[in-house]
Amino acid sequence: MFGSEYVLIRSIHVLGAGLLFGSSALVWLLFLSDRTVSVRLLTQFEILFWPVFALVVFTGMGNIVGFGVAPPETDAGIAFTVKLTLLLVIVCSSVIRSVLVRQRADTDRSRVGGSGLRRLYAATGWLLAMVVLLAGVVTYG
Amino acid sequence: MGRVLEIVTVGTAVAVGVTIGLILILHLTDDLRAVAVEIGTFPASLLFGYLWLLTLVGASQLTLEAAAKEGAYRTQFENGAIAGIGISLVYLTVVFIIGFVASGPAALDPANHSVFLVVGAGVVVGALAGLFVVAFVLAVSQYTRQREY
Repeated sequence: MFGSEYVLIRSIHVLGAGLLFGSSALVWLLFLSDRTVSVRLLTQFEILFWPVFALVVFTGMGNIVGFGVAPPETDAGIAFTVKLTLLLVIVCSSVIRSVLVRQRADTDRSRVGGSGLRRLYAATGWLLAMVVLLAGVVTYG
Repeated sequence: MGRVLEIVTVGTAVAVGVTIGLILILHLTDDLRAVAVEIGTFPASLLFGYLWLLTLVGASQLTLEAAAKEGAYRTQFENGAIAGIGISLVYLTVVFIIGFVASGPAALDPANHSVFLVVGAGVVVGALAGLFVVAFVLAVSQYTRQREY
C-alpha cells in the first residue's frame, strides 16, 4: 500500500507536468504557425492550466514526503532550490499571461495574435522544460 | 468565462505561490526533510487543499479586471487586505483547532507555539500578501492595457 500510494502520486506528478509542458508548447506552436489563436481556446487552456499546476505542486509535496530531499548544499539540493525558484517565476509569468487572456476574452475578437502572448507561452514552455530537466537531476542525481 | 478565469488564476496562484515559497524557505534552512516526514502525506494534502479552497473564496471577493478598467483601485486594495487577513485567520484557526483536538505532528501542535504570536504574524503576513497580490495583478493589467501588449 505504501509503495503503490507513492507510485500513484509520482505518476500523477509526472503526467501533470507533461500535460503542462506539452500544452504550453502546443499553444506556442499554434501561435507560430497560424499567427492568431482562438480566444476561447486560450481561455480554456488557462482555466485548465491552474488546477493542473496546483495538482503538480500538491503531488510534488507528496514526493518530498515519500522520497525525501537532498540537503541544500549538495548538487541535488542546489538543483531543487533552482527548480523551486523557476516554479515561482512560472507562477508570476503565468499570472501575467492569464491576465492578458482575460483582457482579450472581454473584447469582441474571436482570435488574437501578438508577440507578447506568443513569448509568454514560449517562456512557459521553456521554463517548464528546464523544471523537468532539473527534476531529473533532483531524482537521479 | 473571463470571471471564472480571474478567480481561478488569482486563487490558485496565491495558494501555489505561498506553498512553493514556504517549501523553498524550509529547504534553504534545511528544515524541509524533518517537517515533511513529520507532517506526512495526508495532513499535507488537507492543509494544501484547504488553503486552495480559501484562496479561491478570497479571490472571488475581488474584481480586479473591472477595477483596472474603471480605475477604482482603493476598494480592491481594501478587499485584498481584508481577504488576506480573513484567509490567514480562518486557516490558522482551523489548523490550531485540529491541533488541539487531534494528535498530529508536533509542527502543528499548538502547545509548541505561541498562539497569539502566530495569529499576529498571520494577520500581518495575510494583509501584506493580499495587498501585494492586488498591486501585482492591477499593475500587470494596467501595463498590458496601456501598451496593447
